[in-house]
Amino acid sequence: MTMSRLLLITSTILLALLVANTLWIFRPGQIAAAKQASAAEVELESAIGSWQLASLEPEQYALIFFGYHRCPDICPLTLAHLGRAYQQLPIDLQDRLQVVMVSVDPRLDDWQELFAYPPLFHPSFKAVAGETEQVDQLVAHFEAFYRVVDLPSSGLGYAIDHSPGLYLTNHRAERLLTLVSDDSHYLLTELKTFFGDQP
Amino acid sequence: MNKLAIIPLLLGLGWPVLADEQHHAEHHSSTQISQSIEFRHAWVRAAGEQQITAAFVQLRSAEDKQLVAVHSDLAEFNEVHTHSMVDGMMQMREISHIDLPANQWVNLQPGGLHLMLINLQRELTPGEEIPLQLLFADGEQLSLPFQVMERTYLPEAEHHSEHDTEMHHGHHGH
Repeated sequence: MTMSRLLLITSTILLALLVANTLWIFRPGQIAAAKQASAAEVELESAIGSWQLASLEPEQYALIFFGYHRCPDICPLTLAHLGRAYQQLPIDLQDRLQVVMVSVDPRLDDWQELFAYPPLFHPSFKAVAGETEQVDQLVAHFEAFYRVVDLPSSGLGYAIDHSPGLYLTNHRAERLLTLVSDDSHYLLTELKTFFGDQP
Repeated sequence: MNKLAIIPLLLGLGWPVLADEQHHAEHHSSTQISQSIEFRHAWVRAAGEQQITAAFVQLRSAEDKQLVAVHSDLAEFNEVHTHSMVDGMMQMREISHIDLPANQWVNLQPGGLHLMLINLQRELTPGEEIPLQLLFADGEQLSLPFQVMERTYLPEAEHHSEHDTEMHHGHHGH
């Protein structure tokens, strides 16, 4: 009697633990997969129409970063380093790699001017913009940050603090590689190493 | 210390007009612009529709000085700025001055200290040269010529400058 009750209690506890464990292990994974899928489907505008990671070919990659058109120094610096690194990639890798600047200032950026900006650094580079909610979804997915800061004493009026990272991803919005660098040699080496390991 | 006069610049002395030669010049020559201040590698990034750009220069003063302001007729606002990484974000802020400790080169460069030109009156085209007036805390004013460089231009770090010059500009002979 006592023994069977003990068994019952023990097995109940074990079962409860198992259920808890299962939830604990699988729920974050499932949520992450769902988030990844929705990040891939975030739809933004580019110079030639709508853009989303999901529309990349399976063998294609995107190297995305966050910026804004009136970003006076960091964005052109990033684009200049990217341009130099990209030009030194083998042509077949260039064809598989899309460099995309995502505007975190979609309300104040002039989109047509924004779209025309990255191609000044390499003809294949593009900029995308969209609804703030959509942009924020991508920002969160790549664990990047930005914030608009009022600068009342500056002629700028405001600035946007933003993560300087470059995020290598694909049509599934997988976070394959995060690069933080202001050195084109380093970027080139990292990209070559990554692609060297790919089939 | 008496006030230092602005000595007219002999353009071309420290600043060859040809862009390719400039790479060779930038690390090896500087121009004495007043009795106490030398400068080298003064350049501004080309700008078009965004009407905003940044200017850079390397300065060395024979005595402790503070750069407190920049002026030009080309832009509505001219400011002294710096970048810093805070909370994983690159942030840019206006600053009151840049210290020039005696006999040390202070580098204004992309991603760091820079002069910000806001609401430009016109486009800045690569190859042209624009004057910017630098104001110091002691009242000294200097007018320096800044070369407008392509947006793609990157100043080379000292340690691999020769390598890069060779790589990107071919052999122009040393």
